[in-house]
This record gives sequence, structure tokens and C-alpha cells, in this order.
Amino acid sequence: MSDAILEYSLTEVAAGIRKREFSSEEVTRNCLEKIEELQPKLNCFISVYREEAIKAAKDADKATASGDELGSLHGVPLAHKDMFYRRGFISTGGSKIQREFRPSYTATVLHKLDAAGAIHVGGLNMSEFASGPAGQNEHFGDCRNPWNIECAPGGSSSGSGAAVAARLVYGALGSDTGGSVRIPSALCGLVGIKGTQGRVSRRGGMPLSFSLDCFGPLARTALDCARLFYTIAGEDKKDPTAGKEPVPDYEAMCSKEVKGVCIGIDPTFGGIKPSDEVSEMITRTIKQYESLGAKIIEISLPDQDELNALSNVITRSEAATIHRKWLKEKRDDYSPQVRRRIEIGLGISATRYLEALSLRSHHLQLYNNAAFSSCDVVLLPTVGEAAPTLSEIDVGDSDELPQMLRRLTGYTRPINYYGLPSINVPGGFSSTGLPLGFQIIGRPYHEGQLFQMAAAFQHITDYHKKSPALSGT
Amino acid sequence: MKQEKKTTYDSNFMELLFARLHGHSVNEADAEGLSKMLEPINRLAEQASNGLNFDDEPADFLRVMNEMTNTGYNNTDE
Repeated sequence: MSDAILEYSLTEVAAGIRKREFSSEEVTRNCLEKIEELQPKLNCFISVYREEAIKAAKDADKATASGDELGSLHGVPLAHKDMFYRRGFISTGGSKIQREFRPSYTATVLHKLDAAGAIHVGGLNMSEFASGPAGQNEHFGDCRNPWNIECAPGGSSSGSGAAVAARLVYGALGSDTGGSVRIPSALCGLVGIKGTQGRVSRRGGMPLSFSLDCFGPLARTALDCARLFYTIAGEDKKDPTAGKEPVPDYEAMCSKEVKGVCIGIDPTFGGIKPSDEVSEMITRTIKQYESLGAKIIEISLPDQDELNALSNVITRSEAATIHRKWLKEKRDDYSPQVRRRIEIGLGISATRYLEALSLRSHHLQLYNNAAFSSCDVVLLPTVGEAAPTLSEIDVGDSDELPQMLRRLTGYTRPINYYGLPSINVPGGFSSTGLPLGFQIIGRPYHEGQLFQMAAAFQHITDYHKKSPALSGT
Repeated sequence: MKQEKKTTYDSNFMELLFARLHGHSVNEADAEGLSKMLEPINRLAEQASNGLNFDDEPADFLRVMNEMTNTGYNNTDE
């Protein structure tokens, strides 16, 4: 089997397996060979479940042959950020502290993917404890961006971005507390969604911030992402924070035209200026949506820096609560940057934390008035620049750290504070050939409209069809 | 004489806070770094707290989310 099959999208490969054009075993072995070939360059896997994946693929082929009812992901190889618990399998959370941690139960999102027939081929590299938008990892080595291996893939779901972009698997799960699905999606040229707070069960995923954590998929196309998101979304009797709202057919939304949809644009981008290339990409994107019949209106978004601060107050306080014991007993087992980012939460007062939580409704209402009273969705950059080099973001716990965090999460973190759904869409390339992305933000539980917008854009562009040549090798 | 404005989270305070409240020590460099990172967050959060009303509480967030779910501009999807 040639590399051509690796270029198939998730939905295409699922259809091919179902029609027996090729077997799940062939597809899975193909992925495993590619992983073996590229892992030394990209370092996007923490563990590969080779034997288990081949066995699962053979079982999938037997089910196909016997005419069993097949799930929507039947026989499709996926891999996930190494923080989703699978009973008996190590789940490191990208950390030294959890390097040997074997959970006693399986995450709900993995149960749902299993039920749909997906093949789990391994655990993906990530920022330590999902804390870090650049994606570095001192304990397992830095994951690299397949578009240029001198560059960062973005984090914290770094391996998820790199592995899907490099065509090693057809989709991956990540987690997003301040942009960790959308940032690697933007920097690696993928579609990645963070749903409404509560849309996806969090049970069995390593926590960072229980108020802001969201789990979501990264894939090459809007349609692929829609299928993955549909599979994992919805109620979970074991997670009371998971919303009970019915899950609509997101794939159907991917064929709906966007004529008449009103897109809100803030010309100042909430006060954070992107690079010229990103700014030009947004201008092009607006024109492309206009050509599809969407209406564009100007809106004025609230100051993003204040919202970033409130979001940080919540994330740091909750992360410090989760990590307090280890920070005291295993302080040296954290990398300095991650320890610094978590430890500041110990200095935040309870009243400051509760104020930040209490202000969420107030700010969400303001956002609603500013945006959704006059438009359906909001369009913003995801990251204000193309992927930085690994050396540029190697700031450790120095004074440059806050500035680096603002550069990468300035547009994404406020959306977690609002609890709103947001999807990254590949919007073009920089002059150096690196992907650029924009995000579309919608009202609560209107993820379907985000898939509609993303798919319509991909119908008239081909950015998502380009493969990285693994330059910089 | 003009008095210099003190920051909330200077490094001495950080050292003391960690020792007293959390029972572990941070060195001077860490205390300084933590102070520099926390100070602007706290300042901006303080600024934002002006918007807080007497009867606001965290659960209001869910109420606004629910209201927004079924209202909006075109309400074109789903």
C-alpha cells in the first residue's frame, strides 16, 4: 500500500474500509510504518500501541467480513494526547510525575470512540500537564512542527497537531483550557474545535482547570472533525458537568451553504495586533466568505487583556489546587516553566478567584451584546503569527514568559473564559510556508454552525489539502 | 516626599506567603519571577472587578449560557 492512502481524509478512509477497498489492518500498518519513519524527526508520540492496534484492526476486519453493523469510525487509526485514561495503559500527562501512571478506568471520550470502531494507535506528546501553548516538553523532548521541524507545533496538544498534519493518523483528541486544541490546529494547518463548556464529557481526562477544560478533536477537514466531535459530544451519566443538550448531525451541517450568515469582525481584534501576514489572511478570508454570500459587519470586542487575566486567575487557581501537594513534595519533578505557571495560583486569593468566576456571566453578557445581537458568528485570528521557532519560544521561566504566552494565547484564552465554542480553520500560509489559521466563534451549543462555516470555506480553498514536506530536515 | 507605590505581590511577600500559607519555601529568584508574573494578572483582575455587582455569583454563568443558546441574531443553525 502506498503513501497515497495516508493522504485520504478520515471520512474517506472510513468509507474505503467499509466498502472493503482496503482493510483496516492495511491502513493501520501503513500508519504504524509512517510513525516509525517520522517519529525520530517529529517526536510526536510518547507511546505507540503497535501490537494492540494491529489486533484491533484485525478484529475490525473480521467484523466487516461478517457483515456486522459498523460504527462511523470503524477501523480508522487515531491517536490521542497522552492524558486520556485507558484502563491499564500508561497515561503520562506529559509529565515526569505521572510517567508510570496506569489509570483504573477509561475516559468517556475513549469509550465513545471505541464504540464507533476507532483504532487507538498511541499516546501523543504534549506540554507537561497540558500547561504550555508552545508545546515544549522537557521530559519527553520537544515535539516538532511537520511544516518546519525547527518550529513549534503549538500546544499544549502538540503531538495531536503534528501527528495529524504529518499524516501519521487520521485524527486526534486534544484538550483546550486556553487554546490548546486551536493553537496547534492553527500552527499545523488543521481543523480543531473546542466545544461549548460542557458539550464533551471530561471524565477520564487529566484535569488542569475544571471550570475551563474542554476536550476536542483535531483533523484535516471540517467533515472529519465533525464526525469525531459528534462521536464524543453529549451527555455522560458519570460526568455531571457534561451538558444534556441533544447532539445534532454536525456532518449534515457541513453541506449547508453560508449565504446570509452574518459574520462579526472587530477591526482592532480586541486590542491585540496580529502580524501583517495574519492580518492579510483575515482580509482574504472575509472576501472569500463574502463571495459565498455571507454578510460582514463590524463589531467592537471587549479588551482581550483583561479577559486573559480573568481566565488566568481561574486556570492558575484551579491548577494550583490540583497540584498543591505535588508542588510541595515533588517540586523538582516539574520543569521550571510549568512549575512557575502552576505555582502562581498559590498566590491568588480565594476572593480574587471567586470574583473571576462571578464575573463570567457579566462578561459573557457583554460579549453577547457586542457580537451575537447583530451577527451569527465572530471571526478572529487564532494565533497572531505563524509557528515560532523552538529557539524563539525557549524562554524557560524567564521574564519573557508572560509575553510569549500572550503572543500565543491572546486570542484563544478569552473564549475559554466565555465558555463559547470555537473552531480553527486553516486560512493560508505565511511567506515561509507555515500554516496560518483563523477561528470562528459561535453561540453556546451552536457547534453545527461552526462546522458549516469551516466546511464552506474548505469547499472553495485547498489549504487543508496541502501536505507538509517535512522541511528543515 | 512622594511615596513610591508598592506592588501587591513583591518578592518578599511571595516568599512569606508560600512559607506561611503553603508550608514550602521558594528561593529568591523564584519569588521574584512569581511576583513579576502574578502582579500584572492581579492588576488587570482588580480592574475587571469594578464590573462585579453585589448579587453576582458563579452560577449566573450557566443562566446566561442557557439564555444565549436559544437566542441570537439569525438563529440559522440546528
